[in-house]
Amino acid sequence: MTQYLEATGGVPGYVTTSQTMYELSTEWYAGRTDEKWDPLDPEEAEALFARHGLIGEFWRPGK
Amino acid sequence: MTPFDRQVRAQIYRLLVNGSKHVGSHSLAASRGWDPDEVAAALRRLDSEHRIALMPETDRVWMAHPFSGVETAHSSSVGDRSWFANCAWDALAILALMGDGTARSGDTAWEVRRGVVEPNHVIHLQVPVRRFWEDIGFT
Repeated sequence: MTQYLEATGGVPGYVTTSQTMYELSTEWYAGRTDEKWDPLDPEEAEALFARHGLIGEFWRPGK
Repeated sequence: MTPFDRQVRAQIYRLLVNGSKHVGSHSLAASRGWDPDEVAAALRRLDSEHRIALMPETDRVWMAHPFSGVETAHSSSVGDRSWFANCAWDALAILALMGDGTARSGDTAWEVRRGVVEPNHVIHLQVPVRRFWEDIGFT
């Protein structure tokens, strides 16, 4: 990862796995195509991320 | 969102899910018998509220997450159906919505079967959640 960041000039960001992102998506995008869909409020979003082990400043939504 | 804006947003998704590769005010209006100018105004509101993203200075849908309205290096396929995605995460997310299949990001591919992603790669996310919409193209 260190070599990757040096090569791409990227910021540290957050490292997770494709399995975690898929599982997060089953909830994060649930109902997204429906007419009645509304975005989660920040507290709901943070709780959703936490259910998938995604915690910390990186996963804290803006207010 | 107004009731009409909700209808427009849902129709964007219907068209993208059904394989449309160019979704804008005219194709949306034609698909439902709406007034193109009213649709264009709804698209601008949806864009400003971050419900979708329009291509800059146009009324063409760029992103209706996780779907992309433009060709990208990220895609998903289920059987003989395929879609462009906005990023690697969204390529996986399309499968979460559409069912088991293949997600691709550049030269990398994942197979999803019964909720299991193979291979289970490391994914590096650069942009924190609170900054997703600061530069949605980069995100």
